Amino acid sequence: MKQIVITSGKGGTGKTTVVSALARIVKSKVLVDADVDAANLEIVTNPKLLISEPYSEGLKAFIDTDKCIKCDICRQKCRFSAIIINAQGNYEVTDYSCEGCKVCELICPVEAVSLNEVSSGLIKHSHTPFGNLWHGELFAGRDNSGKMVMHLRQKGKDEALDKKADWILIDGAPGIGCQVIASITGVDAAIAITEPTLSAIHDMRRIIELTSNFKVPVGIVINKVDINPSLVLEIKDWARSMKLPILAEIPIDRRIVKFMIQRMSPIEIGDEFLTGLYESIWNNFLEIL
Amino acid sequence: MIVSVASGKGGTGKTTVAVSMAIAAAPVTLIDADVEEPNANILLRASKHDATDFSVPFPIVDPLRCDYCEKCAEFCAYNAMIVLKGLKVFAAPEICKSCGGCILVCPKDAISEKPRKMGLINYYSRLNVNLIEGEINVGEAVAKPLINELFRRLPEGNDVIVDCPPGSAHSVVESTRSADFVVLVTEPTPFGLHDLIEALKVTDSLKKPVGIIINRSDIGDDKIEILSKEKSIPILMKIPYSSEIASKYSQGIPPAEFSDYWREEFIKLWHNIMEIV
Repeated sequence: MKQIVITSGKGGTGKTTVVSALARIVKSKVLVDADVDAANLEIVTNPKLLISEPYSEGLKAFIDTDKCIKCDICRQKCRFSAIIINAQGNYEVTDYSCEGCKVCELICPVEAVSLNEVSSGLIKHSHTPFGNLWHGELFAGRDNSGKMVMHLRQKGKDEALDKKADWILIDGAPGIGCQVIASITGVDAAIAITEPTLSAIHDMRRIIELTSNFKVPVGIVINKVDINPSLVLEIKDWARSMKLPILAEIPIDRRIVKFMIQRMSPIEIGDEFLTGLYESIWNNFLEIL
Repeated sequence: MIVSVASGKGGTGKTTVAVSMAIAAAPVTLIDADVEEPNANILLRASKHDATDFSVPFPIVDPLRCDYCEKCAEFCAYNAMIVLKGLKVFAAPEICKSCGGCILVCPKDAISEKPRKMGLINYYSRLNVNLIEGEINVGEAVAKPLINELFRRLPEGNDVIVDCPPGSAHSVVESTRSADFVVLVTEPTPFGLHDLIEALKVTDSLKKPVGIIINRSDIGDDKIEILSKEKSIPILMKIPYSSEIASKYSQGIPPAEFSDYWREEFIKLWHNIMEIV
């Protein structure tokens, strides 16, 4: 069993669209949506929800105003500026800013502070016609969570081992932060989706720096190649110098969005050329593994 | 006035809108709060006139005082303190959140702090737009302290436009918290709609006035417009798909710079927002 992450650095380059196509091409797999902050793989995989359970991580501080003597020590010591004096003149913890470090509880002279578990999202397990999907939903405003991504990946791995699946396909999040690090740690290989724009190239270089730190082999897909053919050449030159294979070059095709609106992948368009392109992503990828 | 440009979904056009609006509203300060992948200067194309290191306090354990009691490791809520009994006690840099708790619990006063560099704050200027950009080092997991620092560096009295990170997680709260108005850039697809609804939960909870910009407005369906009517959120602008905009964007040229029409539209947008606020 091998774990593959689809990543990009920049958002909106086409990660989820590529995963939706690979979901239909690759046999024997489990799907994991590691973008818990904007979980979109469920939109294009026709899932039937099997389980949805609350996910909580970490603690948030709470101040008991009856016990609080307003000594101000907690507010001074909180490194996250999470403790404020509210309109009633009482000390209060701003839920969103609190990191659950427990310093306020430690230093409160009258034991007015306690820490409570706070639910930060949902863990979902769904059946799809393309294999089972582990996906999450981070509640709006919660800390983007590497831990939640690791949790989903562990669930996916357990299921893949149990069912003797050959692959785990992980749809990654944009950026390079904890949620992305958690989606890359320990995978067997990555597919980076980019587009011929200066922004996407800048962001891809940063994500490739991250994957190289983890010694993860990467193949590159250049999406929306018609935007700027000369930048496509630049990406190819750069990829050659970095010894990174180009897996496929995909043109802009308005039908891809039309089908996405019907909750379908580019494969359902039924265009031989387009299907062939997405198949070549996978076939070329198998060679680098 | 502070206007934050956010989106939910990545790649919908936040940076294109933020930079175009900044050029139209100049003189103005532009903050690039997407510190994981800062792209505003790719579109502003200004030269850097200053850069400062951004550091966070990081615990250092004095091996002569430490007696391996493990109280720091027991207290650390993030499991960042690593104790190798009799050998070494140290903090894992990417996991530590600099709360200072280990220093407080250490009975031997063995822990002190020194700054640990985790990114840069870069300053650029062009077309009367002063850009303050946060750039986190590759491998760093937590962007929040750097985003907060950007807001501490705002010049007084200037109008400010903030280019936010994608998503609807806490970093978006940090970059919209002090805004007077939030512009949400989306696209008319199920992905755009789904992530817009999530972003609206953040702006609703912060009680911020919002308006929507539909980018590539003619590629999809009308669900965003239906949502905006249901929730009485104004649609401030529609930008139809154009291969010219896409091609210029790919070279780092925003619509307000190459097109008089779009420059006028972004000036109107800015005045429109000022009136709403």
